[in-house]
Amino acid sequence: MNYSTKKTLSIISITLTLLVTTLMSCDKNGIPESQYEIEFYRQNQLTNIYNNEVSKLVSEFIEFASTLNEVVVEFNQQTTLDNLLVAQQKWEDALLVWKQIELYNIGPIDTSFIYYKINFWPTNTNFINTFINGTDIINNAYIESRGGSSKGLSAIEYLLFKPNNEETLNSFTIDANHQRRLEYLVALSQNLKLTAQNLETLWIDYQTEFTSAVENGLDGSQNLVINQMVALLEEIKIYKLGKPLGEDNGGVIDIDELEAYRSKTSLKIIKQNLIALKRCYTGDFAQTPFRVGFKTFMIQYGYEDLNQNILNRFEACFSKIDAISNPLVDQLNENPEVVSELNNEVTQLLVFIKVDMANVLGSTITFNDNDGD
Amino acid sequence: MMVIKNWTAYLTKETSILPLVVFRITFGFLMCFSMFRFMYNGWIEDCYIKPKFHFTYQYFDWVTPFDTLTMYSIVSVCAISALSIGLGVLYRASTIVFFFTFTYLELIEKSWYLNHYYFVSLVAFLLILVPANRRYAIDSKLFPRLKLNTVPNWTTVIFKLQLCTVYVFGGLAKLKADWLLNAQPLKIWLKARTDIPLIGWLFEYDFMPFIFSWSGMLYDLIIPFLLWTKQTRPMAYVLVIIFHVLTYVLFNIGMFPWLMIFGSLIFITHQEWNKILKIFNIKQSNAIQTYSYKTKRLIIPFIFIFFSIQTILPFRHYILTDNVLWTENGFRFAWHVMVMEKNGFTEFTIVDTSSGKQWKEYPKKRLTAIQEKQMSFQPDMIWQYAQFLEKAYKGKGLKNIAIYVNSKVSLNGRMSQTFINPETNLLQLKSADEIYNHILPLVQ
Repeated sequence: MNYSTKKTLSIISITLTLLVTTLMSCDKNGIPESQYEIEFYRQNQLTNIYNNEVSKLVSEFIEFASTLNEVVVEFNQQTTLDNLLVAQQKWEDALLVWKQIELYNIGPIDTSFIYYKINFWPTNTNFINTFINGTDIINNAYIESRGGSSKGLSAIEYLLFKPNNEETLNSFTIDANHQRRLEYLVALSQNLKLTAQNLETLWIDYQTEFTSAVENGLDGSQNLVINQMVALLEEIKIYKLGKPLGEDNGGVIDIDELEAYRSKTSLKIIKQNLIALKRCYTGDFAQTPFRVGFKTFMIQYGYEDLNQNILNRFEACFSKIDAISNPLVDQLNENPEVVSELNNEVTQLLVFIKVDMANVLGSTITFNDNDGD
Repeated sequence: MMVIKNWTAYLTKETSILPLVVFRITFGFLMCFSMFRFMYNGWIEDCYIKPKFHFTYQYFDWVTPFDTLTMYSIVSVCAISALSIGLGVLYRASTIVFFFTFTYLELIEKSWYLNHYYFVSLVAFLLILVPANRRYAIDSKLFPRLKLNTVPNWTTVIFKLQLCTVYVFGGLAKLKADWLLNAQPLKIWLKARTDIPLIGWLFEYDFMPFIFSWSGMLYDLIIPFLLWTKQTRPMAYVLVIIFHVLTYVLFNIGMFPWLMIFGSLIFITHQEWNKILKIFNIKQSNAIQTYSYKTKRLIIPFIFIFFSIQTILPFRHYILTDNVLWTENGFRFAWHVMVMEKNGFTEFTIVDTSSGKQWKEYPKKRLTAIQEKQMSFQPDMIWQYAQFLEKAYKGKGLKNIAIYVNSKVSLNGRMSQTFINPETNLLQLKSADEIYNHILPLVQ
């Protein structure tokens, strides 16, 4: 081996040795302290999301879906106005919990399409009426075989909320095929209860993967959550407010495009979505002393101003919602300007999350980024 | 005249074919792998099939994709031609096919522009010009009379120059306040990679992005000279490996590091290869050469023109804009590699000027995620999308429309700012070039 070759090999060896020695010298009990700290923060955020939010909300949702199923069975046996009112209230309870879970449609939960089974909107009323007016045996198996547009919370809403309760009651007591309509309602609520239980199973199976995917790449759980925050804000802006405001059709108010307009819960839905989004941002799910959320990282990275801006935008959205006293469906007809103002606030919040927060966290707001530069 | 004579003499002097052959083999196999990876990742669908609308390059609007089967066939042909380059079979035809198929694939969709794709197209073009199949190739095995031991110096110099262009202009692009004084975007990227085993904890420290920024800039500007100089070449190649492996580990940067690591092998001379091979007891012998390769008369002037263009293109932004990172006027084809973290938001308002009616258009409804992301901060693409919307709305029967954009962009950790003047009717701008006059200045 001549001098030049020896020199090359020596340089390579020295460089690699120095690199490895430097890296390993700061190692403490196998895990460098600061690396442990960062992993701890990320893992704590994800564990916080799962233990104090997702798991809790899913359990609540199962409970409400089961209660809804029970009262619907009761309503089937005694089809009275009182029982109808109870069923409507229990449906709303389940819906409002669901709207907080809506944010966490990620990983295997997303790919299972279970969200479509639970709450696909707008529901296809033609399909539902065709099924009811048909001759197939209506039970859970039948509902399970149907598509998302004819089952879940939206389909139940369609059956439980006519323009007035008398009309609703008539549809279950005297209208054509009223018995099959009741059977369809019972089967829907039973299917919802079982699907809620399946959702819990999916989350239990995914829990470890979710809380341990602390990496920053496309598959990192933190990145998945940010993408889902953006997706939900875009859904509020484009579909829950924009389309009903007529942004798609030259400014003609379109009530049919409003989510859950029959039950007049559209505004409550948006509020629940935003509550869940804010909790996810701050990490304030439970009264624990150590609460890690995106807010924690923003402060750690030195972006206190941006953090305050985001919190202010959340508050501005809530103020706009609270300023809308009537159901959204009425306000759209009577005072669409206030709904537009709410949409503008949501847009500003969306910009802060999608553009600013993603920028400082170095997140990837897309699922199919290719090869960098 | 003397200078021209000296340069011509330098470029036409005989040199060993070995570095050129090594370059051909590594480039061919790497690109073959890259094209199959493109297919495997489902990027044919994502890039060519799923989009309802394509952001084409200026003057290349006529480049459009075919149906799924044809696109798979074209990518396959591209991969096979790359393999043929590596093997040295039907070399000239393979290089021509690879250059045209690869360049065609890149020209279809601007939102997928990457510096290294541009680099590959340029290298593929240069490969057409050189006799890289005259040793260690199936062509020269089948036709021994083709065998060459030596080739004119320009056949290897052009690839060295091409690599140096990437490094030098990549380094010059880093001579900006964001990079040097604020350590951006590395401050953002490194903080986000603290989870990396062994070295992740280092990125916790505030000084690390500065170390990476300055050393990255110095590396880019100095490495070409270190690689070109005999005495420093071994150390330089070690640095090339360390630098690019680090970028591969730290960033989502795909094939670029491997292209640079293997591409830099062109600098290793015949004598140095012999020394390396000797360690493994491999002896490299000369072939019986029956004729020598003659440089065509026009090739030297052509190379001069080619690299003159290569030198002018990256500088054009100095004439076009005072902040290339913000406006992106002259950003592409200029080796602005890894110099910014940019995110954006856009929504378009379509106004029927006859009735006053308004429509909102959110790009995610019509664009893929990557198209939406790239368009949100690239002015020429915003203009292109407005043109697309004009056609869509005129198709609905609206004759007199105006299109405005609400755009917010965040650059290198700054708070988002309004990007394009929201009062500009994008349809009044006759070409993509005009939109650059309607970008609002970066405030911070």
